[in-house]
Amino acid sequence: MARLALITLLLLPTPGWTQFPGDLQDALADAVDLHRRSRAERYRVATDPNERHETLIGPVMFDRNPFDALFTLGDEAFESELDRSAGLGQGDAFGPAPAPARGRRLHDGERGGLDASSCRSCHFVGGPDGSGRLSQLALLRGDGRHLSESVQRDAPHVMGLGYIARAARETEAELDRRRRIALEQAADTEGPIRTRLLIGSRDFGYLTALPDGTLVTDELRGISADLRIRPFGHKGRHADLVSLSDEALQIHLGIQTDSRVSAYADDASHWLGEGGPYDRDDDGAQAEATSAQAVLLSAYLSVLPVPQIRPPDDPRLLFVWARGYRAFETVGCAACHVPELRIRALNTTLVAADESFDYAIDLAANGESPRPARVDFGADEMDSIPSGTPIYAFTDLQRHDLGPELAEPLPEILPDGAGEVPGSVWLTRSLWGLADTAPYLHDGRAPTVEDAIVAHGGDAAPSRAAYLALDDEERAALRVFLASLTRDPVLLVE
Amino acid sequence: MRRILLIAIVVAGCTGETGPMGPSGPPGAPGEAGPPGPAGEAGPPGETGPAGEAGPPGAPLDAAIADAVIDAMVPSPTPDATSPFDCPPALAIPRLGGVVDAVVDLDTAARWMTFRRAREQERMWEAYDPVAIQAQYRVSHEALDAGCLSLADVVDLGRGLFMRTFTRAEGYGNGLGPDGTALRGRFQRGHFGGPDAAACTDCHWKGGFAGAGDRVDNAFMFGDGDRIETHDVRNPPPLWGLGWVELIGQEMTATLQAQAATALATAEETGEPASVRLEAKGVDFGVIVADGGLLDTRGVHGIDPDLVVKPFGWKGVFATLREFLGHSLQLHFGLQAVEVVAQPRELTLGDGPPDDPDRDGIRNEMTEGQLTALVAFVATLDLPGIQVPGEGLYQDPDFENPPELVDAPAFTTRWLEGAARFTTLGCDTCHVPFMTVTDPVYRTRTAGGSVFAVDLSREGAQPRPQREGAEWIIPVFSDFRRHDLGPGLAGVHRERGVEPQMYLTRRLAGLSQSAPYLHDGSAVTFDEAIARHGGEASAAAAAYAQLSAHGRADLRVFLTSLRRASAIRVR
Repeated sequence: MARLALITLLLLPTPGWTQFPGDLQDALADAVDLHRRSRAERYRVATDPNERHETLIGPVMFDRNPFDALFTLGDEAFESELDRSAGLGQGDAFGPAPAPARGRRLHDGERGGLDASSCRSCHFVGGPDGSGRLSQLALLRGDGRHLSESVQRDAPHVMGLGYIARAARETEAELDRRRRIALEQAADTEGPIRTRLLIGSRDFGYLTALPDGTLVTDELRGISADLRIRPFGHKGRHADLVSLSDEALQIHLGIQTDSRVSAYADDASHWLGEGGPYDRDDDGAQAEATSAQAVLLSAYLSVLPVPQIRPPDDPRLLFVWARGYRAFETVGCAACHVPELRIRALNTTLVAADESFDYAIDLAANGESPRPARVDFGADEMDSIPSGTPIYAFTDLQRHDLGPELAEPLPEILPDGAGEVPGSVWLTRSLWGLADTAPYLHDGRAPTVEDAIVAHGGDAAPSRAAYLALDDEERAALRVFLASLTRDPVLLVE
Repeated sequence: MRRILLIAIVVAGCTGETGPMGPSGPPGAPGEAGPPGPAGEAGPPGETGPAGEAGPPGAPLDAAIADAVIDAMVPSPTPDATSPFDCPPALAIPRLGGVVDAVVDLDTAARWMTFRRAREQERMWEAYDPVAIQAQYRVSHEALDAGCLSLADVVDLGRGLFMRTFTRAEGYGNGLGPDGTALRGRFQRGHFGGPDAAACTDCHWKGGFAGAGDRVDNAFMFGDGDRIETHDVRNPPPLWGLGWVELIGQEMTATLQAQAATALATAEETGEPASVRLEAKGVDFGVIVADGGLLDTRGVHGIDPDLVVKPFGWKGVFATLREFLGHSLQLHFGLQAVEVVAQPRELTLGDGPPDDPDRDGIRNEMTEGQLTALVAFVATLDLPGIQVPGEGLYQDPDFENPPELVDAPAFTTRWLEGAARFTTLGCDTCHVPFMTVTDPVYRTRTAGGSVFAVDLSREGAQPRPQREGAEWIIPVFSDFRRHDLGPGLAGVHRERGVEPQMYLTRRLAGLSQSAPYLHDGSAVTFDEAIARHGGEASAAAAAYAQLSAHGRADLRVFLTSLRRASAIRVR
């Protein structure tokens, strides 16, 4: 039932092409306007007495500004090429301005490096807010000197993250509800209650509640013991976009938010740098950013459009493509790369890292187009398909063991004190927008989709074997389906 | 659009048909591309033949010398009028339809949209049958020589290769890794390379199609592949207007070679040592002394003793786009072009068999024809220029609304001030604003002597340079020679004999869209970039620092106006 619904949806004509050329004219006018603005901004920078570039520090009035204005500010923050006056860089700046901040392509521990100019530097492939490629590999948590000591991470695209975050929160809420019920039952029955955490097709293992209110978590699957879903980062590192933005600002650009500086004050030299309390990264710039700036970036990321499934034009290939989706299920890809998640409420709340304020966004009203739309699927006999907003992200939001071949020598320690993720364990990568994001896997080792499939081991080994057992035609069909996971075109004037 | 195929090789009877080939033939569909005319019409090898018509009236001496010099560098091809050549089927790749002007109009937007959709379809077909799609991009130089492809075909093919994510089956990567394949090496090893990217567009994207690279795209070259301090850092520059750049370099080379020849001739005539001042297009390259048939180049500055101007690479080590691109394919992708394997020059190719040095099991990883197409695409890109500013943003003090676009004549007057400052500070001593070209026909040659030619003044993408009399004026902002920029900017290695602190004057064309600046992308702002100029440029940098804040801003307004024309791209 669910599968049929999906196929039917996929066959609907994708908007964007048929509305030629009236829409093209509008798109061109918008692109020209953006272009003229960025060009004018360049001249503003040129005439600024200190040639100060765009800065993250600006009046962000979440209570006063309409969302559109915040979105524009967030967009600028994402694309802004920052300079030293905004706090770019860290530590080894080698002289007073205008000496440039010295880059550090290889990160130095958790303090990071200076490897980019803006968020956009590594998120442009395939289109705006896209992914990175081999040349944009992040080289994290090393010694700052040796490539071989670095952890290599491919930059994913950043589209649709607001909906992923929302799905994570709703899954968390459901897990929390089951946890509370188990605890209540354990207290009532004065015995342990072992409850299965099955949400739709997603199996989070078993949770056992004890009468004294403690939990036994060692039978959990794909999730940390605190039952939080962390859908961001190849390892499942961040639970929300605010924490992701906060960390990315520091480790890629050397810009530290005030909330980050206070959160890591106890172990500052490990996380922040060797500088004093007012300039932890010792680059001569104080008060580089506020927690509000991380929220602003997150607000921008939350409402970005979602990738699309764009079927082939050629009818012959169309049937191959449909077979490919079937193979995606029969091979077992869909067990972890769950095609469809349903969201009940299209809104998201961003909480500042220091919890000083929160900001709610109505995704149904403010999401950029194309955005997921609520669908009334109608009830089947079992009433098992609730209405809601489907997103086709192809992930279960869980972690899995992918075996020794993909394993890293060291576990990844989560920044929020929630333990560590073993070297061979990875978050299921969401496959939407896949076709534009080569190379694949966490370190970009797989140039093609086929290379990536074949590299799956551990929990995914049976699926790999099933893929390899397919005949050439079926394998090709599966690849065609994966190549249709893409995004709508974007017209740019540069 | 006119197409000029400057072919010294004459091949008769393509697919059994004969027809008029002239330079004015329409590009037409691939299959229609006319076969070359009978051998008699094309004249003897080495002569420019019909292409001569396309040059400026009364082709100037410099161009003739440049031709002579280049002809001397490559062996003359042997005409082979006997072997018939069957043209391959028409190109079946996504196409934009030849060169694309840097303009903003609906027609261009629609072309890009259609192209984008075609690429999306191609990607799905490639997922279905990778070999069939890869084959579409394989074109031999014989097919080009035989005139099977129009200029539009060649440029579309070159663009396709430029955008292509190369795969192992095409030769991407190498077989020298510990487990038999190496597909990644973000830091390059020696003169062997990475691979550190999979497509040209990975690192040439900023500011527009075929643009510059970001700090994150910096290539780490000539090192041990691991320790960062062993590598030279190179930021990817924008690729616009490079066809014209190569032409300037060629004409300068021809002038310098002629001056050296004069010195030799004088010395022979008089029996005394003869000293001649080397100067090309107003740029001083020192003095050369001829004595008894030998040349003393100790007085030569800013250029190698071979007196060949090499405008490509941060160090100025490549004379042609062809050589530069061939090297890049090896260093960044591990793609070993046939002619690079035949003549690797400084490159290390691997210890494999002669036809597969990198041991990845793939031979002929890129044909001469494909490389010609790639060169033709890059050479025909539009030329960046100067856009005088007149628009600004107004932000209301309460930040109630987004900034508003307003007329800002103040920018225009400040630009005028800045342009004057550029000269008074001495920036223009090295960043020479304008260079001229007398022969706008760009030629690229295979090692075997096949030539592909295109008249950039007629067939290159718009904007093209203005013409003044017999010359085209190129706003390139470089003197095409090397300078000592002091120890502060010194790299790690000598590159092809060029000392670590010597750099070619960076062309400022397209400057404002290609931040970050300097060879290592370390400078975000113009102030930072200027402040790091040392050595020969330290006086100009000091003069800049002495200016008032307002004066510095004026110069920055001028620098910001060095832009590529606004262009459309669909992603």
